[in-house]
Amino acid sequence: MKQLLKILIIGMLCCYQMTNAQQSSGTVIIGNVYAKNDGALIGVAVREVDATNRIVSATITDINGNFSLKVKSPQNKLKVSYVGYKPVTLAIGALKKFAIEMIDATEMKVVEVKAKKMSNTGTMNIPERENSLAMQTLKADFENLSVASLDEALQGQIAGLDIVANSGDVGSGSTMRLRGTATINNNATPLIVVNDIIFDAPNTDAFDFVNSNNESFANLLSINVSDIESITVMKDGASSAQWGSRGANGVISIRTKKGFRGKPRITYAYRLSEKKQPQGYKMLTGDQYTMMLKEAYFNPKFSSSASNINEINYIHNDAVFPDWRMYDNNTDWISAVETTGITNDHYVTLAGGGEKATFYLSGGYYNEKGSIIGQNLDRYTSRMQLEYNVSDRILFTSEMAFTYSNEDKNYPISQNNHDVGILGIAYQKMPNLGIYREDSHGNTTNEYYNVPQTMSGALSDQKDLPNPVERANLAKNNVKSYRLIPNFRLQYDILPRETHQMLQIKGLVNFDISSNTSFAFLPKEMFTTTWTNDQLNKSDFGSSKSSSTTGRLEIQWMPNFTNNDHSLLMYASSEINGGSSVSQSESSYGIPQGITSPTTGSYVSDMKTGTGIWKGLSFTGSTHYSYLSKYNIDFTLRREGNSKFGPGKRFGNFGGLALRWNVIDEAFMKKSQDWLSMLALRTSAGVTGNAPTDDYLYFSRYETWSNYNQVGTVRPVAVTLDNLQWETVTDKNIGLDFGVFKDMFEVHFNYYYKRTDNLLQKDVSIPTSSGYSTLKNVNVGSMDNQGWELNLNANRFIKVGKFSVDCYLNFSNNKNSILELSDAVLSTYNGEYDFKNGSYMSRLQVGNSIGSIYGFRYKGVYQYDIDNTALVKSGYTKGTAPIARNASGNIIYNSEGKPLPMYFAYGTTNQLQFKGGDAMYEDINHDGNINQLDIVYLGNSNPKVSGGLGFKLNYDRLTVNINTVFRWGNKVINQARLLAENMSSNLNQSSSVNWRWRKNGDITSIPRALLGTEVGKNSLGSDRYVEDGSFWRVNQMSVNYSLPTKFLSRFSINQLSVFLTLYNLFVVTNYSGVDPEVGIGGWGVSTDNNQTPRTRSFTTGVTIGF
Amino acid sequence: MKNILNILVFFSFLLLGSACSDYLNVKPENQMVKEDFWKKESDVEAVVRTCYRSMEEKDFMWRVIVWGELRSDNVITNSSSGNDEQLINNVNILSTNGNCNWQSFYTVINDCNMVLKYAPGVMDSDPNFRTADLQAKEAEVLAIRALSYFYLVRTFRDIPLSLEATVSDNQNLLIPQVSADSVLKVITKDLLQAETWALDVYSTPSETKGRMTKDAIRAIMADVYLWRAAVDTSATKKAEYYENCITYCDKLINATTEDFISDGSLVQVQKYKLIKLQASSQIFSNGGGIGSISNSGVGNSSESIFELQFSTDPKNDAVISLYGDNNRNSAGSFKATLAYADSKSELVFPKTDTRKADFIVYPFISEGIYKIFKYLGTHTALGSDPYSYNTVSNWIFYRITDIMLMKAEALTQLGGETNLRQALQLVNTTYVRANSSSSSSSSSSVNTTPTDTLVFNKYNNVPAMENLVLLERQRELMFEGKRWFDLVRNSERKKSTNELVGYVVNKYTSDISTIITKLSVMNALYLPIYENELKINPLLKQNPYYQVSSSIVK
Repeated sequence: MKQLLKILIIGMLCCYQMTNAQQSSGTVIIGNVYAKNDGALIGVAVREVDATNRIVSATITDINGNFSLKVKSPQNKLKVSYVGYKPVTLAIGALKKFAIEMIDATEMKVVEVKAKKMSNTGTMNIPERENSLAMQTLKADFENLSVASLDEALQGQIAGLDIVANSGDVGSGSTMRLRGTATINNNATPLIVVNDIIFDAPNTDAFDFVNSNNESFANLLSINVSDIESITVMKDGASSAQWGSRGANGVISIRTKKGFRGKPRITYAYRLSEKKQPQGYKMLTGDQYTMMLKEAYFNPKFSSSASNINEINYIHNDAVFPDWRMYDNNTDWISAVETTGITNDHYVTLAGGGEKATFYLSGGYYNEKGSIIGQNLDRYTSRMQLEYNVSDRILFTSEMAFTYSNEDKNYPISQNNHDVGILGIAYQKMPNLGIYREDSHGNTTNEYYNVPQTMSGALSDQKDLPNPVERANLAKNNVKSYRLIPNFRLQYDILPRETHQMLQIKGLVNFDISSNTSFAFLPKEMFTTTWTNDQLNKSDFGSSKSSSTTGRLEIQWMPNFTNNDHSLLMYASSEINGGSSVSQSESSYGIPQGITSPTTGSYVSDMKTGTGIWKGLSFTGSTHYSYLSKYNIDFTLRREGNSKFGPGKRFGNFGGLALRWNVIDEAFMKKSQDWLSMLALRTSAGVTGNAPTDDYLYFSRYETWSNYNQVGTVRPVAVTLDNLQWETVTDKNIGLDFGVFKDMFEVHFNYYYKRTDNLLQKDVSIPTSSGYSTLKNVNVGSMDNQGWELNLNANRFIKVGKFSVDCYLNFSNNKNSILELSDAVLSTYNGEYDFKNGSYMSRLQVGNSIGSIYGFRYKGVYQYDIDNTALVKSGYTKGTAPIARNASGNIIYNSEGKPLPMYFAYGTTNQLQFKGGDAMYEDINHDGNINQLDIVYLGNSNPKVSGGLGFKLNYDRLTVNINTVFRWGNKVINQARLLAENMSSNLNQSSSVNWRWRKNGDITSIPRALLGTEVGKNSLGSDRYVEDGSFWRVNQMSVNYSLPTKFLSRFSINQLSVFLTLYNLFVVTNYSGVDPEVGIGGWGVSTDNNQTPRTRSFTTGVTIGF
Repeated sequence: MKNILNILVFFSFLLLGSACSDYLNVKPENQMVKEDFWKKESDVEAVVRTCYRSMEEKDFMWRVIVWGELRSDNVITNSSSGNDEQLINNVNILSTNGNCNWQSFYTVINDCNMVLKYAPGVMDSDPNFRTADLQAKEAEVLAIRALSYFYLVRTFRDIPLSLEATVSDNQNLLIPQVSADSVLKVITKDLLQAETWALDVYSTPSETKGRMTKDAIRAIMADVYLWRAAVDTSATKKAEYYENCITYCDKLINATTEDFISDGSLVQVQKYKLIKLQASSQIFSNGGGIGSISNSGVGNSSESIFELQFSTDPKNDAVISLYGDNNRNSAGSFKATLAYADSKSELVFPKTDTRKADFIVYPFISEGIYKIFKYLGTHTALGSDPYSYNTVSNWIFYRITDIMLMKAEALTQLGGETNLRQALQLVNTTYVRANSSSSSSSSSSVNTTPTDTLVFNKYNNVPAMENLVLLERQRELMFEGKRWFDLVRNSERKKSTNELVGYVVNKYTSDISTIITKLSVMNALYLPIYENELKINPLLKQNPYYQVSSSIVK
């Protein structure tokens, strides 16, 4: 750390010296600069440079092309450069007067540049054809896409990278998985690296990755997509091993744009998007709803008094029910909360530079109004990149990124511990209810209507539902965040470049400072409860600050072998990082009316503070060796220490080895070389890992507790985790690269096997006879992920005149299975079946894949009651009835000759006899009893194949981009439909329940309405709600046209292009829900909870450059 | 090349220089770590207090009441009570019942084990912490641990015995069960040791009543011996344990202390003397401090031997939610058994017994719902509403009348006329106090036999006396978490549940035959091991009574 600072200071002093150079004493030289055709040149830069090209003094020529310069040393050289001319370098020597002729650059001959396509592994720049690692680079052309964040832009583009948007809510982010899920409790998201620096969520340590999917990737919002130059995805262990414990989930390495030499160029881009919610379930209207509810209340008891509920009784009488006007509506709550989302995105960049320095500056303003009311995001981003060549051997770089975002979200509405959102409530809210209060003349007032506490007890489900329109408009939930990432780099060539070998050291200091404040308020108007309710006028305030520092020292050596067959590149680095975070939060309620943020005077219900400190250090070494560019080897070793482990287990060793054989270079391939441009075999193996997310685990800790007999106490709170180890991920990869016709067609294939050992699991139960119920972290077992990726690229494979086509297609497959899991975890997870509606049995088995879904098989609806006369008359042959049948399908009779009825959970407290109109489940073991023994495997949440397909069509200055994504063979639990079709509560239902069973003999697949969770078993976890989640989505289609330069130059405009992007154009799927793209939950089962679906949008924009 | 090598060597030193492992030592800011703790006597004291404080946790107190009362005939569940409690009430006990979770007890036990493990080391760093100080602290935690185990043994019978503090995950945490007998042996030994080391008195009266003194330990000893006598099969052992029980009871009954009498002179008086007037109010919730030890505030009456000191923080939440709060119109999760509480019934309390109205609120809240009042406040015969509520009440584990009746029980079991007469005399002490209107003499000293109260010729045989003692224990100690264990002890003695069932069915109005069947085996008297516990610890064996065939092989 100190050393780094020293180097930086030295570097800065150099800069300082340079600016002061002119004041120093020395000989004065004079001269004149001219050109053959133009005569004297004005404003030509004349510089005195030393042996390493460092500028020691400088001046410019006057109106007559004359200059005078006080030189420091006659040994130095004089360098003269001017735009449009070839630079001139002269020795100073004893000469005092110079006449310098500049030669027009246009007269230069065509220079043939012989360069190899390079790829950056994160540590080294090596030729792409020598790269033995499994990585894929995307040279991004993101300007034409209106996407808020990187993940949206990446979707479907990288083989093996499965990205699922969490929801269509503004700023909600997505779930990313590279080559499957290799960890259970830890963060399974690939590591994001920006310009070789880890880009963390601001407070990773306190972050619960398993339970807060929604936010987890929103942090990527703070990278403006327009600033991205390229994205490299490192997939195998050997390539991500350089990031050690952080690289276990793969790495997404992002490089941002840099400045360039040349005239400063200003680019302005504007994008406008409009978003619409796609059509979801059609819900019941108010009239259909009240009819359904009446049946639902009547059916369980066959009593009309049970269904005699004022709110659904069509009363038009003030004396009987004064609020009747509020309950005779047909409100479409869904369209009431939907709106047209509009995005405005302004973006300006300024880039340029000269021989000594280049710069890139950008600033953007992004505003998004969500397609659900009450959502708004404002984001300001700016990025600055400066490169300064202090001399030929010293390069100083500074970057600064700043993001400020101000987001208004909907106030969360929690049901069963997850946020259902405004839209979720809109789907549940009773449609016969009005949004606004109506006065006695039936006119709508502007006061929102909330159901009173005096509402019929039977409708208690509805009583707890807020008015979603009111919730979105009146409740506040605001998050503001700042993030500032400055960094400084200094690069020094220890050996001069002329020796043709490279020995370079680099120093880097990076700071990452972020601050978040959140404020939420629930006004009293939303409640009809008493004043003492703890939700009333409730305000939540939270703030967190975190900062982290990274210091890194790197050394790179490329020896110059006399035998050119060998090439070697070695790299070593040491890194220290550390960070801290502070957070505090306060909740209070009962705040006086009209005040949202009181200083005092309310009931403080919760108050918390938290601090966190983390530190780490690491040493990395890598080597790349290539013989004749034919046999290549890459080797990486990393030793890493982490403050989360105790002294003995603090350091982990990670590393990787990769080999590549360019078969194409072999002599026997000579014949094929005219058409075959690449044939290479790769293989690699790597070890990466994961550290637990909690701190201080290796201490036995004590904390102060409350009093005993007025005196304070101290209690032990945690057990020392001496056994805790790094979670290690061992990864093996075999790959094939294939290219024909000068890489017009490229094929990349990878097969991988990834094994996770010492799987970390949080809060593992232990026998309470120890005095504790859980251990915070335990290594519980191992699992593996294996799969393949196929990536096909066709570059300009069709070329007719000005027309050309590019195409990409990728497929990937991943299968994971649990190899070993501690009994305690298995038995805790595999609970007893709870016999409840809507719940799927959770089962985890060694040898099986995670994400498996188990449930009953749904066979439709029983047409008849068992004692229905028509049925009895027919001798039980008619239709279907709940009658027990044996394996051969024959009816089982009791001693009286009557058929045995079908039971649910016979002999338990959940016992229930099926009736006509009830759901029919397959009696797998033919015992006339539907119970846990009839539960079968229904499928898996992991897709068999996923990937993307895209085309790029070029015609002259017109480009059409089409990107599509697909997933195939995954199952999704459509929980949203389950809730919308169960008819067991008084939440609104989907209009499909209009086809419900109503009387004996009805043939339908929708059971009868039965209110109450325990009176019927019509919505048990069955394959009725397990759907195929396969889809093919046309994600983006964009048309871009840039105007001809010749035409533009008249208006001194460099570049002008217009574009139109259609986003989420259409989806081909059998999935009945709103959106088949459903995220994967903690243990890998995907459940569609009816989150806001992906919106449909179009974007149009213009880019103009000067 | 040499140059380069030099640079490389320099560079690698640079790397290693910063590789100090100390850099990675990060200690928490809001917690203490073991390495910095256990240095001073005050550290030991703070953790010893945690042992008591852990007992005050709602989960612990909840189970003390649920295990000791709910299964007995004293209480029935109210409609507002939780599902788990209702299932126990209906003798529909499954291993998933949350009340079978014993974690709160093992937390206390582990806190005690921590003190036993680390306190000796404090002597090295704190010169003021001497052997006697250490032993006094060890005595306290040994006693607390023994009491916790005693509850577990009486509730589950065979339990895991953990005598080693849990400090690291590399310890073997899968502990098998051991027999109840070996647990009892261990705790007897521990209590014997604790008795010799413990203090007689602490600096303040509330500390003396609220921490483990020699007397508190003796009270537990008496209880443990009485239990061991009941469960042991050998006749000689039984006799020996009863004798031991009597010895320890006598140590408490005959204990004396110095006190100033009205003329200012110092005399030896009975240490745990009975309160004559408004005893219940003064013992369980004394807002006014009348009759309690001077300045001790609430509770801590002269009758009590060991009671957990509650205050407004923490409150005795288990009592509040199970027995009720200060709203006289609503009962807690439990209500008094109708057959006993009904104002006309004389099934347990005779008409003259003042304890009935002291322990239960009259009139009832609504038909059949009698609110339990013990612990909730004071009951006086004055004013329009005789019940006044306090927010704070301690929880008494042992008080002198409990000890007296334990002695009576032991004497009865030993048999013989002298013993039986002595037993009756002890029973009469508490009985007469509560039935003073029926007694000819208003003074109810231990040494005088009331003439027309309980007469010996009605109870001159062991079974009759046995029933009387059991009944008097029920009356005197109702709602104090003792009744179920009294019934189980009685059943263990008889090796039959018949008598127990006879009492318990009194609280039921329906399904009586099912309940009789369910409680017909001894194993049914003990709770099942909590299902989660069984899953995690494969060494545990479920009580055979609860082994269900429905556990299907997966």
